[in-house]
Amino acid sequence: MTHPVSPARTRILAGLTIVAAIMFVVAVGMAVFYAPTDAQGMVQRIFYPHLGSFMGGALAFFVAAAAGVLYLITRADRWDTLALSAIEVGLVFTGFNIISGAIWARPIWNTWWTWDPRLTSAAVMWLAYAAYLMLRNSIEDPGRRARLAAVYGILAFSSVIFTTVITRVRPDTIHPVVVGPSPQNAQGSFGVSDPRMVATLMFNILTFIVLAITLIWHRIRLEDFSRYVAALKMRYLTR
Amino acid sequence: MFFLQETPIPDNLSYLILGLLALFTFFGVFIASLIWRMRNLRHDMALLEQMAAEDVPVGDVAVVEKPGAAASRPASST
Repeated sequence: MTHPVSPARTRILAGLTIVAAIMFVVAVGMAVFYAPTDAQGMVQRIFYPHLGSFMGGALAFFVAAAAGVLYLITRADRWDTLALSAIEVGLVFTGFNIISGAIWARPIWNTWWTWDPRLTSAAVMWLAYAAYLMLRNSIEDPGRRARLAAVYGILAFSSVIFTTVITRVRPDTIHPVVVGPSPQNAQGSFGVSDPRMVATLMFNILTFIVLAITLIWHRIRLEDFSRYVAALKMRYLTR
Repeated sequence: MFFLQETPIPDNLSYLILGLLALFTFFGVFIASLIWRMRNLRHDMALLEQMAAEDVPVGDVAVVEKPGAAASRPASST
């Protein structure tokens, strides 16, 4: 039984963590101080981390689905660990995405929440992935747990695709979009035409993607270490 | 000239602050949970290493007492 922490990878992860932390501070600083104020007021600035966190979360869920496919092909535990780590991180990112959307909606739509198609699909997506963690905890046999979780992770990714495209296929949504024309009923639309807005948006998306990768890597290390300690305990108890 | 007046930008700074608070809370709590879980695992690991070094029998793990603890315990009626 080898210790799961490699010194070389630890150094790379430490470097990546520092880069991600600096990028995070710069991204928030750009959103608050650098991007110009829109006609909606200061609250519009929450849009940059709002979209960035969705991109980071969607990437994490995509990684989980891909890891699920690879687990079913290879049956290697590392893909199961990757899927679990990615989904836990994705839940944090999309959770913030939903909450920040509600905070923006209060002054713009005059409500914290409405059962709009986009908001509802985002909530269903988050709950579907929260159920993934409950599913894992309800199955004791590790092989069966990993197999079912892989299948569930692949199927749950359909909710991410649905949430992404719903503003293009449902004209009755009031959620605005920034790439391409907003739906006809969209409320609170704003243009991202100023170069400083574009730079802030792009940097926020990049930052949240780097942050997602960093946190997934940290979560993988935690899971590997957890399995290592569990195996040591088992060896001690059965000697 | 009434028609040249611009629409005033609404004052909703408090919602931006709330959004930033949510941002730092979400990610802060998750990172703190990673640190806390790693610390617990390291503690378990240290305990396992200590038990292996002292060669404590598995069945005795739960009944290891400090010296003198039995003497200070109140006498049982049974």
